Amino acid sequence: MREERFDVVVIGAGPAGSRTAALTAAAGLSTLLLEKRERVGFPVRCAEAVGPRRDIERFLPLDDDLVSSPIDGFALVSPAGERFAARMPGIGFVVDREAFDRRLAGAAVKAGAVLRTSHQATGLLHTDGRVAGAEVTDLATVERYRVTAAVTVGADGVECHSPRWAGLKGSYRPAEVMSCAQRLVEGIDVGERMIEFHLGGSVAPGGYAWVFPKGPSSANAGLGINPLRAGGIRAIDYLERFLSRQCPGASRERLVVGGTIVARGLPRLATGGYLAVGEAANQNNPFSGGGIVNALEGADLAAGTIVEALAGGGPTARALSRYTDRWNRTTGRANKRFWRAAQFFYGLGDDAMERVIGRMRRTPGLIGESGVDPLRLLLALARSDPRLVFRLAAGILKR
Amino acid sequence: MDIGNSAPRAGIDVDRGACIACGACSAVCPAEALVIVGLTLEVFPERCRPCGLAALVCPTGALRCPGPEPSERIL
Ligand SMILES: Cc1cc2nc3c(=O)[nH]c(=O)nc-3n(C[C@H](O)[C@H](O)[C@H](O)COP(=O)(O)OP(=O)(O)OC[C@H]3O[C@@H](n4cnc5c(N)ncnc54)[C@H](O)[C@@H]3O)c2cc1C
Ligand code: SF4
Repeated sequence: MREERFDVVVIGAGPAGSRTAALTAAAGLSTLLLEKRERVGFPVRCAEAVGPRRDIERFLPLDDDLVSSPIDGFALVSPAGERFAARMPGIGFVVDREAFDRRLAGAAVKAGAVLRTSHQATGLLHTDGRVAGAEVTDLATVERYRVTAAVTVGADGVECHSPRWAGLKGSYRPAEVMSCAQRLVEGIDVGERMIEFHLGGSVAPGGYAWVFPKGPSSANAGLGINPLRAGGIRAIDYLERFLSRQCPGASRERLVVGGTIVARGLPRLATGGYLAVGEAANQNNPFSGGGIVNALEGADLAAGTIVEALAGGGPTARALSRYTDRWNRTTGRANKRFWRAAQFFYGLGDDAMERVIGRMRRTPGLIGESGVDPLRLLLALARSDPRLVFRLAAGILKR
Repeated sequence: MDIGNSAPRAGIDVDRGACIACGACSAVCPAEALVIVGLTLEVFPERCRPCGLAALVCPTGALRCPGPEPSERIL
């Protein structure tokens, strides 16, 4: 079998892989970026919402052609249809995810990485108990070849075969994968450019439905459910029901389906010669399922650790474990809290959720500079519903 | 694959018209019997255990996975 040699081979050209490849290539490491799809970023499997400009511009300029719509606030809609809304201009953007992913991959190529689309990693190479590269299939010619590399980066997204090949994890349980469906809907009023979250067991059991402004009169409207709470009903059926109620007149265009991993977080993100980044590393926010910016953050930490290890004593399990530590000290720590919050929140049941949102509507000054002030919310809830707050506290204090 | 072995159970079944190759099932299948190759879901039935889990997360209902035989159930 033909063999090639690189310093770094990256599996998957989503945000996590492209960003990692851009940084390792910029540091002078020969980098191969593999993408099994024919076209980077296509098809899109995303609701395309990201945070404020400063969050994104740490990684790439948020040029106008990447932005579909600004987000000027958010609204929560209770199971009974009560609405809590907060206007917050600048809170985020709905992006053109395909253009976004292509821009990131372009940056990797500009930095010197070699990008190969329609090339799929089909396994890892191992030498002396360490990962030593990947086995690859060129899907166009069906040729198989080997790529040896000092470091292999698994950025293969939700399918996440490579972390399993590396022995970092097993498969996920069904409740750890949000089952999602979404349509681009045309002909609806998004005048206020708020992102909406709809809650309730009949709307999206164990998850939520969303409406994100996409254009002057269009939106990404979708939902994610916990498949174990769905009573055998599929995400696309919940979606059709939601759209019929929410925007009966709108036309239903492009269908997006997918899974997003909302599990607790991996104990280890790296082993000798290998590290996982982005959704493959379970770096999504386990409360929202969102993961674009988390993937970019993971990529920066991963690339920094790779460059350091290759300049020092080599990519041993120990050297690369610094990446896990760095992640756990930063976004990984926040994700642990989000995970606990998710266990609590999505387990509330419709009545309790109704009370929470009702209380939010009646509490003045709940919105601070950076969103809902959690302390004020807690105090307000404690007044109306001490048992709920006790459950919340017990959930958060639990290890 | 030994066909006789799996005959009593219905195998993994994918409705090709409904599958969008989103990969959600790949994350759950413990046997790596479901792999997205390029933009198509490929099934490796000989790897199936079978556990019935992956079909639960499929957003479109395109996937049918055989569940374990009653005698093999752990619970
Ligand atoms: C319906 C839905 C809505 C979402 N909405 C949002 C949102 O609004 N905001 C947000 O922040 N996040 C959202 N997410 C989550 C977000 O899409 C992911 O967190 C993000 O894509 C993770 O980036 P990544 O680079 O880790 O993986 P991906 O973007 O999935 O990239 C992985 C890449 O690897 C490729 N690949 C996989 N296996 C191989 C292989 N063996 N060889 C070669 N290439 C391979 C894939 O083809 C893919 O291109 C949503 C997810 C879903 C499903
Ligand atoms: S989860 Fe369903 S739609 Fe997605 S790849 Fe698997 S069978 Fe196809």
